[in-house]
Amino acid sequence: MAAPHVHGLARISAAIVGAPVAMMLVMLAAGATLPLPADARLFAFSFLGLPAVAAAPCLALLARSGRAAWIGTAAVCIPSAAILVLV
Amino acid sequence: MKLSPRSYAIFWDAHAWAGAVASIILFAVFFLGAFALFAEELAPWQEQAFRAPVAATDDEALAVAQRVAEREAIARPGWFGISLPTDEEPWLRIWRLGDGGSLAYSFVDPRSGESFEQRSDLGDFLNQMHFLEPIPYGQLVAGLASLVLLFLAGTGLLLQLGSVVKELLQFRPHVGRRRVFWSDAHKVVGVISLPFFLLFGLSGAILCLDPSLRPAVVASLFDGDDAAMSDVTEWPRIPGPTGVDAPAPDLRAAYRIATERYPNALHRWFFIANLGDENTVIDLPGEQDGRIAPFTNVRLARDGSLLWARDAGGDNLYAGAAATLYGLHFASFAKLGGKAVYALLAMLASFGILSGNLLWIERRRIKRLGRFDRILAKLTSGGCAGLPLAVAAIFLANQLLPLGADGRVGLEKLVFFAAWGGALAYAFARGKAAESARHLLFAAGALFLVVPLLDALRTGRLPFDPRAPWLLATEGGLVLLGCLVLACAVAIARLERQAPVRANLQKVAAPDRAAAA
Repeated sequence: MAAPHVHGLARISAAIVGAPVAMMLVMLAAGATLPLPADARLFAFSFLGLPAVAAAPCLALLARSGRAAWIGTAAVCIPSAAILVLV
Repeated sequence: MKLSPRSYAIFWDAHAWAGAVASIILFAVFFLGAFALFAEELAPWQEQAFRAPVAATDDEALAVAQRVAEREAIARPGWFGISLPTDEEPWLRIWRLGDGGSLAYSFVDPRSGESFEQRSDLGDFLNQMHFLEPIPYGQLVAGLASLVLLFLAGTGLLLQLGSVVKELLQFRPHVGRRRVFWSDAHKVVGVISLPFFLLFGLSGAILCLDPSLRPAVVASLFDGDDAAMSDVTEWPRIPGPTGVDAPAPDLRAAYRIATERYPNALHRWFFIANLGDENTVIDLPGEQDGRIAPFTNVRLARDGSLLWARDAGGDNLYAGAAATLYGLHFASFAKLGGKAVYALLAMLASFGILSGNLLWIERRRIKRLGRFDRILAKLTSGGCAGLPLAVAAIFLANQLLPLGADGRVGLEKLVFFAAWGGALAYAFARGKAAESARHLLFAAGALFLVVPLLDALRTGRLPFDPRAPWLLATEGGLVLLGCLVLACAVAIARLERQAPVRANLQKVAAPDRAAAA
């Protein structure tokens, strides 16, 4: 049986809010920059991006701590947001 | 291959909590999905005028449609729709855009031209409720719930890594413990329904989140050009009116052009933008029989010249994939039998979601139910067992409300929400959630069985008459559903009679990780 596992507010909030938003920004940034036709970019966003958004909380929950989960979220959000602003 | 103990514990908790939080919404979406499949087929049931066969040829119906369009053109509506008679709806349907973008329907006899305003939208309403559209922000909630469903399907699969076949085959109702019963039921149904969950999670998310995500997608993927996205999704934007008056387009000619272009597709609908204006545009959507992605469209100018056409299956990567996904979601390829199988799968999926909640409650009962657990138990009782009662109530309201009642369509919906809300209130007022669920299911089952008899009595016809196939199919569906719901009520009563779970659990140590789950 697995050892008891304590999640904590920071990790849970990162999983529910941070990680999906970060993944959404990644997918939008990828859609904005990938050198593909428009239909392929929309396909990637809808058919790969939305499942990725659904899977993102798993990554935050697997982080070593709540702090690590939020640092990871920020590390993904900031460059993605920058790409969206600049491109 | 198996997860590490830490990952297993994390995904187990995440799966359980996400499921508990989203369960009632997901249950409602799946349960109502079974009815949404038959939105069109319910037309003769909900409206007595549609029970006679189509009494006019296409030529006669087109002549009536032309007269209606010419009359409407005087008011220059921005958008207007009209359909030709079908087997399920043998009158012409008129779509008018009302205040705030809402649609108002009326029907015209294809021979006499006699008309009446819509008196029931039972099928359409249950279809809209499948997407939670009638509830404020409901579509967004349904979209987020679809993402949660994808998460649940993914974590559920990870938890069962290496033991999927075992979980599929392991069902031990004879053990006599409710926790084991619900655990096995949840895993068996979860494994069977997994492809169904993945399909509906993805298609539901794309369909329901599209309006909310569109501004961000247009801004980032299409450089702010909404028309470019409309082109990729194969619904090009229609230019606005010029302000120059013009008569209605020739519907007969438009119909001929569409059927010549797509002879294997069924074209029964005319959706007209800028009617009465020189810049009138007519869309004739069609459905090509037997294809998974059956949707075609012919777009014509007022003079009949072809502006754009969409082949079944889509012309680009996104449109093709979306058309296939939507075809699978809506079972557009299926006949009545195929839709019945889909409906049974939807019921099975909703049972799988429900069993997760019941497993949660039984596991928590081992220690002691906390406040959240007690609320969840009552929400599950009122929300899940109350939903069949609400559906049965709207079928009953459809029978009993006077045909000429003001706002009859709204009253039907009111009855639905009142019954669902009343069921929730009843569940919270009663002490035991299982008891209230049993009562609600008994009431729902009884109503489902009464409705076909009431309809036969009210209309002076024999029930289960094979000469009326649409009515027979609806009657059969209602009776089957009534029996299913009553069987659930009896099953709850039997499960409640089992020995207290705590005493049994102390005797049995969990032999492995799967059993502990």
